[in-house]
Amino acid sequence: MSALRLGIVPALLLALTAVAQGQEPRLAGRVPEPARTQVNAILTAAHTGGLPTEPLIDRALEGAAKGAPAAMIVAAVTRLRDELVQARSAFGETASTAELTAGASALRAGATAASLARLRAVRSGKPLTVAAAVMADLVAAGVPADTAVGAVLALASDADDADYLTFRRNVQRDIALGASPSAALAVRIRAAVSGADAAPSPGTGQTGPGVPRKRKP
Amino acid sequence: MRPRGWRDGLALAAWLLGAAFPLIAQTEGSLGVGASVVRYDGFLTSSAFVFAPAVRFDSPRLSLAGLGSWTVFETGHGVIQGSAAGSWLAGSSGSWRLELSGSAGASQYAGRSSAAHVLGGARLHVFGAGITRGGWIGVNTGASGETSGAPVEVTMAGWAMRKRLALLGSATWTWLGRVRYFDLVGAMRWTGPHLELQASVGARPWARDPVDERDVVAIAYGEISAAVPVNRWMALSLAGGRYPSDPVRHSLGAAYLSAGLRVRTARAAPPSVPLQTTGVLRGRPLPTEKDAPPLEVTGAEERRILRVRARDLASVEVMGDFTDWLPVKLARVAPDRWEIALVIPAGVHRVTIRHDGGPWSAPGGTRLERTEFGEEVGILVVP
Repeated sequence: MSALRLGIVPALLLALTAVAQGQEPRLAGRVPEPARTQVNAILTAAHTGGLPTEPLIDRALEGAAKGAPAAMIVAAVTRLRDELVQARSAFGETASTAELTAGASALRAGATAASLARLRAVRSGKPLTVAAAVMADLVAAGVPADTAVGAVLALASDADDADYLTFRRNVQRDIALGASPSAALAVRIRAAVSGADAAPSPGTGQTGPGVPRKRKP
Repeated sequence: MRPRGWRDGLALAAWLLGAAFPLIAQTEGSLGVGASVVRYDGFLTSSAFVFAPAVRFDSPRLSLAGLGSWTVFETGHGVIQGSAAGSWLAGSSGSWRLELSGSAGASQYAGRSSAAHVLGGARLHVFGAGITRGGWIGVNTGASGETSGAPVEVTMAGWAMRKRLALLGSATWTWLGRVRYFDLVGAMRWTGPHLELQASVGARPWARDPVDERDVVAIAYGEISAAVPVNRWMALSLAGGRYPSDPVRHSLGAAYLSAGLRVRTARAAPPSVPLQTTGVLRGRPLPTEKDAPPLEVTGAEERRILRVRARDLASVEVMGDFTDWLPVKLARVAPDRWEIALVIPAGVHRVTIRHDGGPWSAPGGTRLERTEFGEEVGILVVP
């Protein structure tokens, strides 16, 4: 057994013991009391309930890194836990941590649990992480939530992750060039569905990916 | 003076020397409002609204000026600018006089990008008989934003005046780090009882910008403007043309057409007052991507490379969920490239970045999310 393995095994055992005892070691020394005790309680409950704890730990560490007060850290972790619960309800018990995190992010951006459930249904057996993230990005770019959900669902049966990322990039470019979010989405969804997403943007005369395009100041 | 550039400063200096240095001290305030259509180099055409207050003080030897402006483009983005300038003319010594000057300016675009410059200079003037013609040689230097090394501008100019007409010709060499260029400008001003006309033509026949870091290119340009006094307090202005980039003062080149109204404190319009509604458009509309360079992610999960392309930085750090929210420094692997290898699983991540120990902010290319903690993070999708 190598020295490395000799070192890792005790460390893992210590960490597992700490988690089993409701003590996340990464919070020690960084998250102030009483937030640390409360966050540890949330982590224990989440672990028991089958929720991923890593995103919750990250959120607590984020608050600590930004010097947030204890109550704010606990509130942020609690809110994320609730979003993860909603996302799991929509995506199902088998959803990965990455999918649940993306779903939670989409919920925060304005998507609904019902729309996530529809995404799960349409993309049965396919990964949801990027699709949910693109849904959130479109809403954040100014596309109405219902419209963004509809667009992502329209692509859901055939698009892979790269298609979604290209679609998102093109919509964001059109918006940056001055198109309204809804108009940009409509143009790009038509192009994507027809397989011609490299079509010129309205009024630009320039084509899709790979061609640098100008925008308004 | 307005934050437009040294070549305008030269022209203004000539007008000041020839006509505007008054016999008594006087102060003037003014307020300009106007509308423009402008196309900055690298951008699409946009309309803009300009609001520009200004104040100036002139005495026989000293001239001081301050200008603020707020420009709003149709995207809703705005440029806020402020500048101040002063010029002191030393006592006469035969046909030769020395002028010392200084200027400073700062601008902010879209509430995020900012740029500033501080410059000082000296000119040696020579006057012909009757002060109807003359010339000067001058040098200007200082600091220009984040640029390493001081900018240097060397100018030779000559001017002549005939009643209502003034003519100016100048040649300027500029060094800014590895960027160098040369400008030739000819300008005229005609001042009538009910109209003031200004026009200029210029050329940048030679420009060297090794890696397009300042977008300086050889170019021809020209502008024309007209001001019509409505009464002693108010004047209408119309202007248009094209002007080149001025990297020393962080001004992009642009073509424009503008119309405006300027209200001033009671005094007859001096011939040296520029058309502010055109001049104040020359702020640098920095795209977000240029100020916050995109965070690139390549590689597989076990070894993702985070990359930032940026010049003139001393350090780049990232902090996010994949670092347990602890800062990690990127290594400079090329003069304009910073990288670090990290284990980052596929998924949606939260990340922030900072340059040179400054404030943490969302990297370019990420979705901004306002957090419960009162700050913004970037949402990064790693497929």
